[in-house]
Amino acid sequence: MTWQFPKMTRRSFLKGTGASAFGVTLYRPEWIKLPGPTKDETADWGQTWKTREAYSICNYCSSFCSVRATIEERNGYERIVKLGGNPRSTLNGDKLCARGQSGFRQVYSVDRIKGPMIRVPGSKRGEWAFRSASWEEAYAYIASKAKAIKPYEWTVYGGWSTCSFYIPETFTFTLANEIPNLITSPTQNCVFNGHLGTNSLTGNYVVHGEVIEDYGNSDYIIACIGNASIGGVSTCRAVRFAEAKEKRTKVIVLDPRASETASKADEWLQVRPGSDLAFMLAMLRELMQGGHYHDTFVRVHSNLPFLCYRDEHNAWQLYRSANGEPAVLDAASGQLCFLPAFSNRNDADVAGQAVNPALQAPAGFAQDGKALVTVFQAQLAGLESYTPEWAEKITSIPAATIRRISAEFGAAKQPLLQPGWSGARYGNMQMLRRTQALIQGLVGGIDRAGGWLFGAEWRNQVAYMQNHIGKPGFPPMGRAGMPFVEWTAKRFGDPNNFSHGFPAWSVVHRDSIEKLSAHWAAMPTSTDVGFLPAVKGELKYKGKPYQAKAILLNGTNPMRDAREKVWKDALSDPALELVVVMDVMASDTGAYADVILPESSYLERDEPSIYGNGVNPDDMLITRNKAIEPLFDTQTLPDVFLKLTGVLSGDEHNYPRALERFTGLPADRLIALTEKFRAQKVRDPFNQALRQVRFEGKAEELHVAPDHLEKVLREQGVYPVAQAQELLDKGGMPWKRPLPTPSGRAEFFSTLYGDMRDTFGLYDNPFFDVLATYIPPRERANKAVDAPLEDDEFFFTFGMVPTVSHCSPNNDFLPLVGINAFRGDVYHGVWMHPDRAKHLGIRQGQKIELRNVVSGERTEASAYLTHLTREDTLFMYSGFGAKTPALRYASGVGTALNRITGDLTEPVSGGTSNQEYTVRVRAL
Amino acid sequence: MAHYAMVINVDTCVGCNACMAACSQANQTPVWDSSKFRTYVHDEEFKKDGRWVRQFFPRLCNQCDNPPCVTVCPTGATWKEPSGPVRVNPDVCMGCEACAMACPYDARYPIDREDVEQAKAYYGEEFLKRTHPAVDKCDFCWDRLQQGLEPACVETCVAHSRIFGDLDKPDDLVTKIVASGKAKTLLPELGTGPNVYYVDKLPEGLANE
Repeated sequence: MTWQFPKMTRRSFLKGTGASAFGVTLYRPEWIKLPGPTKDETADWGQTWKTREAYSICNYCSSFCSVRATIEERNGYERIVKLGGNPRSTLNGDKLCARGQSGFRQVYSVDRIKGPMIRVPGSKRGEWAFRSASWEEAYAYIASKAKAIKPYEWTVYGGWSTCSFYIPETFTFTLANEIPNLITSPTQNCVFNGHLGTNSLTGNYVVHGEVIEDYGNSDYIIACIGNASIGGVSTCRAVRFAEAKEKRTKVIVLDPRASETASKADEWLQVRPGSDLAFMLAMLRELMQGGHYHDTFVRVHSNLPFLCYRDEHNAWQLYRSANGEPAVLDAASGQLCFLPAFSNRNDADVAGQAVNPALQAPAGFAQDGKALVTVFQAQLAGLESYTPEWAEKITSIPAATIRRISAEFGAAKQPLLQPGWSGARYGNMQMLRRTQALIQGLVGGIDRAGGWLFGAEWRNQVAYMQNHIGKPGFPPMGRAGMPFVEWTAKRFGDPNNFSHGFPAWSVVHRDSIEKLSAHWAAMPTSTDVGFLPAVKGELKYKGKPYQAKAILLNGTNPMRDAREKVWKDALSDPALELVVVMDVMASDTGAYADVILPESSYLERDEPSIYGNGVNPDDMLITRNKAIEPLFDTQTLPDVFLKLTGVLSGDEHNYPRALERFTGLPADRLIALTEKFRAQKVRDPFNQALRQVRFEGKAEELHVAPDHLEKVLREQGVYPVAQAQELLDKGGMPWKRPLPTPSGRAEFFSTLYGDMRDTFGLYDNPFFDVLATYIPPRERANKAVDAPLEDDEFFFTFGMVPTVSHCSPNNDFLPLVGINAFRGDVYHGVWMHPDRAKHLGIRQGQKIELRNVVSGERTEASAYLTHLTREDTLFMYSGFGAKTPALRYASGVGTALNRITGDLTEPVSGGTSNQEYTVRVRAL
Repeated sequence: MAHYAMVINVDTCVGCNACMAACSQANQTPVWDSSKFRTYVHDEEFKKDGRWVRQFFPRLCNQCDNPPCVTVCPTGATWKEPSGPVRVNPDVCMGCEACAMACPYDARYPIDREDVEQAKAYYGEEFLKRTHPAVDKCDFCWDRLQQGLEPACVETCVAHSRIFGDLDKPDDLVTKIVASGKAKTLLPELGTGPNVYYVDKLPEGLANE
C-alpha cells in the first residue's frame, strides 16, 4: 500500500523564500494542512483519466478563502469535479465550508444565465419573461434606452463581486461615466452598519472584514451577535476558533437563541434581543473602574490621555493647539504638552521632548478658562450610571454574572472580544461594535497575538497610503480604510466633481428631508436610502427634478437582501426606464430586469487583479485562475464595463483613462493590450489587459519577473511574501506605525462621529456621541425594554445559516438544498419556544402568520418549536424564500426574511434596522 | 497493514455541514434526495445539567470490525478491506437491501436506477463513478485513500472535529485519542466493533496536533 497519512508536523509555507519556520506564535492551527499532496504524489493511481488543479478564491462570503479546484479530463471533456481549500494558503489551508465546497455547482447549474436576454414586449417586470439575444443586441437595446437618460439619472448597484473584488473597477466605471450614484451591497448592512463602529477606533475599512481574530492564542473569548463569522460560517475564522476550543479556551456567547456559535460556548447567555450594548457598556465600566487596561496601549497608543472639554453646546471637544495638535498632561511635570497631530505615539511632544501622558487630570485642571479632563476621565464619567445592575434590567443577565465575566476578561492574558460580523439589526449596532472595539483596545488586544490581527494586505495598503499620500503620482483610490470612505463620500457627494453638477441622489435626499426623520442618514454613502424617492420623482436639486431613470445591478439581489417592499416598488415603476442586471444565475431581482447580461462564473475566469490573501496575517498574494473555459456566452465584469462606457459616454477609452486617474493604472498600456488581445480573439480582452498590467506592477514591486509570478499563482495558488510575526514586529498598528485614524492613534474619542455631530449640529444625539454611550433598542417604540409583551407578541431575530451565503443564489445548489432539507424546519422554520407555542395552540411544523407590529408587513412561515430560543424571541435563518421559478430548487423553500423586516433605518449610515420591531403571531 | 479509524470530536463540530457537501461531491451521491447522503450532521437538542443545549452530531458508516451488512449480503457485493473500510461493488449488488436492514447504524441507503439517470445530468455522463444501482455507503473515501488523500469530510472539516488516521501507527492522533480511553463508539454492546470513535473533548495534551 502506497498510501501515507499526511504528516501533521509544522511545516514552513515559505519553502521557496528561504525564511525560517514560524516562531512560538502561530496565527493558525497546526492541523490545517500545509502544504497538501502535490501533483506528483497523486499522479498515477490506476485510473485512465487525467486530473489537473486550478487555484482560485471562493466567491461565497467575504472570507476570501483560498480554493483548489480539481478538474478531470475524460474523452476530450473537462469538468470540475471537486473544490477544496488550498493547502498552501495559511488562511484556510485545506478547509472549505459547505458553501465553498458546493461553489462549482454554480458552473453546472441548470438555472444559470447562459446568454444575454431581453424582456419580451408586453411582459411585466417580475414575470421572468425573456428572449435570448446576442451581446450586440443587448448593448444596442441599452444604448437606445440610454439616449434619453442623463448620467446622474443612472445608478450602479454593485453586489457580491464588487464588494470583495471589483472595487476599483466599479468605482471608476461610475466615475468614468459621471454617474454619482453607487449602491454597494452587502456593504450597507454587512459592513457599514456594524463595522463603522469598529472602524471609528481603528480607522479601518475593509469590506471583506477588517481583522481576523487570533482565537488560537487567546485565553478568553466573548462573542455577541457574532454567529456569522464562526458558526455562520467563515472558514478562516472557524478553524481558528476550533483551535481555541481544542485548547479549552473559555468561550462566552451572548445570543437570545442557541446559535451554532452559542452551542460551542462554555456559557451561553440568553441576552434580551437588542440589549447587548448595555452588557458591553457595563463591562467597559467594570474594566475601566477596575483598572483592567493595557497601560502602554492606552497611554502611549490611544487618545485616552488626550485632554478634552465641554464646548458651548455641552459637547466634548478635544483640546488642541492653534495648529490642531492634541494635548496631554505630562505625569512627571504636571505640564500640558502638545503632541504631534498625527502619530502612533504619545510619548514625545511636538518638540520631541519625552512625555509621560497621564490618564487622569487633577480635579479643577483648566487651560484658557476651559476645564480639562482626559478622554479616559470623560468616558469613565459617562459610564457612571451603567452599572451591572442597570444592565441586568435591560439584558436580563444577572449583574453578578456581568461583574464576574468582566473580571475574568480583565484578568485574562489575551482576552478576545469578537468584533462581530454583519451589522444592521439595531440602531445601536454601531455603538455596540464601537464599545466592543473600545473594550478590545482597552486591553491592548489589537494587532497583537491573541487579539484582533489585521490582515497583511490591509497593513500594506495603509503603509502605502501613509508613505505616498500628498506626493506626486498618488492616485486618489490609493487611500485605504476610513480615508478611502471619506474620499468616496466627498467624491460622490460633491456636485462640483461632475460636469452635470448633480451630486448623488442619496445626498440630495438627505438634505431635502427633515434631519433625523425616518429615512435620514448623515452618511448615506453607498446605501439605497433615497433611491425610492428618486425613482418616484420626489427629489429636486437646485429646483430641477432629480429622477432616477436607469439602474445597473451587478451580482446583487435586493429583492431578497434589501427591503422587498421598497425594491419591488422601485423596480416595478415605469419611471425607472431601464433595469439592467448582470449576474451568473437567475434571481428574484433578475426577474425585474429589462436586459440581463450573463457573467462568467468565478471558476471560469481569470481575475483582473492580484489580491492579498483576505484577512490572512501572513502576507500571501492570491488571484483567480480559470478552472475551465466558460461554458456559455458569458463575459467578465471589466469587459462589460468597458463596453458600457462606450455605450454611455460615447468613448470606451474613458474607462481606462478613469482607471489611470483614480487608481494609477497606465491607460495607454491598457488600451494597447486590449487591442492586442482583441486581435488575438481573446474572449475577455480588457480583463486580461488589466490582469497583465497588474501582474507587471506587482512583479516589479517584488523584483521578480511577471511570468514567474503568474506561474507560481497558476501552479500553487498563492505567492508567499512574508510571515505574520515579522510583519507585526515591523508594522503592527498602532504599536509600530499609525493607524489610519485621523490622529494615527486608537481613537476612543471618535473624531469620525465628532465630525458628523458638528457638521449636522447633533450635539445631544447619542448616535453621534464621541464617546461610548447608551442607545436604547427601538423594538418597542414607546415602551420600556422589559415591559410585558402581549400574549402573541415576540421579539424577532435572524441569523446566517452556514449553507447559504448572503446575496447569493446558492440556496439553489443541490447538495445545499439536500442538506437544508435534512435539517428541515431548523433551517426553514421560525424558532419558537414550546411553552409560548402551547399557549397559542401552535404545533410543531404548523403554518403560522407573522405580522410586523411596526410596519404591518405579514408573512407566513412554518413553526419550529425549540427550547433553544428565549420565550420572548422568535428566530429565523436568512437565505431562503426565493420566489422566481427560474431558481427551480430554491423557489418557494422557506420564508423570505425581507418580507417581514420593516423599513427602519439608523441615522448615521442608513443601515436597515431589521430587528427593531416586535411581531405578533397567529396559527393558520 | 493499516487500520483506518476516525475520531469525531463533538466539542468542536460547529454544525456547518462542510463534510456533507464535500462527501456528496467526492462520491457523487444522489444529492437530490436528502435521505441519500453518506454522512449526516444531526442537529440535536437536549437537557444537560438542567439546561437546554444544542449539539451537532456527525454520523457515518462505522466500518465495523464485525460488519452485519457484510454477513447478510447474499451476493458478496459488500466486503471488508483488510485495512478496515467496508466497501460495495455496485456491479455485484442486486439491491435486496438486506444490508441496510442489518445495519444498526442506518448507514446504508439505496441508489436506484432513477438516481443513476439523474447523476448523468448532474455529475456529467462522461464523469460518472457509478453506472449501476447499489446499496451505497461510506467507505472512508476509498478512492481518495488510494491517492494518498484523507476522506473528503475529514480534509475539509473546518473545526478539526473529524480526525482520521491509522490505529496501527502509534504517532497518529487517532491512535493517541483511542489509547487515552476517552473515546467511545456507538452501540458497542452489539459487538460490531466500530472504527468511528467519539470524544466529548480532545483529551488534555493532545490539542493542536
